[in-house]
Amino acid sequence: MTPQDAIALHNAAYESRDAGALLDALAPGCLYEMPLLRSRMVGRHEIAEGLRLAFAATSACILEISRTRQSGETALAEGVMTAELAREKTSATVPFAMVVESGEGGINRISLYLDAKPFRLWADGPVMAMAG
Amino acid sequence: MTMTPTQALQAYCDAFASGDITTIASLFAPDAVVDLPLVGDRMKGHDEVMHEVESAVRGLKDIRVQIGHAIEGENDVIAEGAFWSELVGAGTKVDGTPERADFRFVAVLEMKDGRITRLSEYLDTKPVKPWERQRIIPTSVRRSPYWDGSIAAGAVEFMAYNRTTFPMIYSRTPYEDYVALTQRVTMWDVGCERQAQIKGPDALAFANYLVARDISKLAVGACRYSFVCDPDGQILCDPVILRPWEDTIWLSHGDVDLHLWARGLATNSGYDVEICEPDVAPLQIQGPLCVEMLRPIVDGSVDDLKFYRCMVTKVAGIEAVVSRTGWSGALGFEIYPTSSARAMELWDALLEAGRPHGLVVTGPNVHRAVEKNVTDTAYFTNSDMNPFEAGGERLVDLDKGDFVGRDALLKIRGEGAKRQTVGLFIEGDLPRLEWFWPLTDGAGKEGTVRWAMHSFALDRSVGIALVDAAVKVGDKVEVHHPLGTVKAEVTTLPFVED
Repeated sequence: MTPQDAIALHNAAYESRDAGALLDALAPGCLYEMPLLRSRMVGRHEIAEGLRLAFAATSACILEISRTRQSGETALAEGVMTAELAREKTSATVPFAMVVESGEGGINRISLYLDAKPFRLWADGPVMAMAG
Repeated sequence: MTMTPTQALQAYCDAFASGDITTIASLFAPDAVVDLPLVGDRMKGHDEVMHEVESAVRGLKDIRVQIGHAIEGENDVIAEGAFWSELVGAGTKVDGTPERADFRFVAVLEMKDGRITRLSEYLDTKPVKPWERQRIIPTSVRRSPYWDGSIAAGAVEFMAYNRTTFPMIYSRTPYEDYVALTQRVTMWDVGCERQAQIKGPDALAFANYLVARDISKLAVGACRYSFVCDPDGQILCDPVILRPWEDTIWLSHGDVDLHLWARGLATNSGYDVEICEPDVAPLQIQGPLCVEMLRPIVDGSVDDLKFYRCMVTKVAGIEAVVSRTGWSGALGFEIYPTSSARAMELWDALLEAGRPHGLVVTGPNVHRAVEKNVTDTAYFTNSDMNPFEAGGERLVDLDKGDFVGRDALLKIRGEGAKRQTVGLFIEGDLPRLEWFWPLTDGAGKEGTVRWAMHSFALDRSVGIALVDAAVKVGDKVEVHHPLGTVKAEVTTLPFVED
């Protein structure tokens, strides 16, 4: 699987709200970083739990990629995430970038870069980490 | 030789780390755009970009930037990297470690004709600006009527001042706030700045009895700065005195129960006055662009309002007193709505009026205040001090007739003040001053550092201290702050004249 394929798989998981195919493609020690979730997640079990929280917090979540660059086993991309937030019944549009590294064992790292500060924990704001 | 996008990104990062503004300026195209979550809205055009870059570079030090993965297209590059820096002027944490801005990021850079046309950074500012609002101990501290506005603007640290929330620090570097105050315009929630209202036929006479300065001829629409002392001549506070109406005096005061003090003194005094703390919660609009900002929304001419004058008017259709006063030591106004009923309506209108002028919501800028020797005196801040020790002799009129503290002040003046207020150039970076720091002068006498800050104008640590009257400018003293003992040199005040 190329890193660009991995990006597509990741984003499809959010759109379909089904993490199965993505989880199958992860290397055992894969690192997943998503600022809207509470912490760095390592391995399929933690990542599955993180994605479960993300899906529970949103009724829809689309990650649209506007530009991707790939070199070897690494891809970097930028785009916009649009999420319909389940609890607040509002939508959020957040520019993001992501870095994906893949290898023989599968996807080794998915790091999303976005500003989570507007989604303040204490403000009853739309925070994925508060779901579940 | 034309740079590749990766080379341009590296050059930008290197120049940023070394503070090389000239090189950074040469990298960007005239119509360049920059997205940086730490700043906010997209920066458009060379001037806007460079204004923010300069502000960022001066507000940080010991900057390091490392680019990791960088993948180039024909005219662009996407790169992942890490940034480390220390905030200038933020003091240190309690354990002495500096406040830092460290983060990982992805940068997207586009080029045209050898110049950067777009630079977008993606990062999570939450760990970089981690100062989420601290909890306020409930019920003993009332909320300012502008609370919601301050929170929305990113207030993260508050004082309890006159038992009211007082937002002091927002999610920016200290230098960003300093630049906003000295170059543009700022709005401060000073709803905590309460008024002791004296109303009635004897309002002016009673106010004149309360304060040390002769205000017996204070005209309607005039303001004065003075001290309120206790019978021992010790300063209770240093209010701005306003006379917005014929029969009404406001003492706009610091952190002290002044209206209770005044009410107690007025009881059975024979003065025909009523004293209360009205529902008047001010805002300060400070900075060189304040006139342009206020002109369209203030009835009456802010251009013609002289220094230390006030007028009863409307601001955005809301009844208010506007005075040309403030705590910045420079051009500024205070707006006192006569009721808090429409407080947030006023706040929003001022935000909107300030938008074209780059208005920033900040706390009072203590960095600038210390540079200009604009301090604040209340029960505890600068307590145990008389006006002569505070350097405020010009604000005391001992010949005006009886007033509270006169006999004691006459005695103090006759004997000569035993202490004096001086400036200090202090070595090294400073922790935050949370309470007075002890000081030892060359003769072994004790003093106290009562204000201490990084001066951006002088690019060094400065302080204001109360020391023995024998201490002279140029003397060396030792300051004992929580991180150790450092040397300091006595100097004059203010540190900055304009």
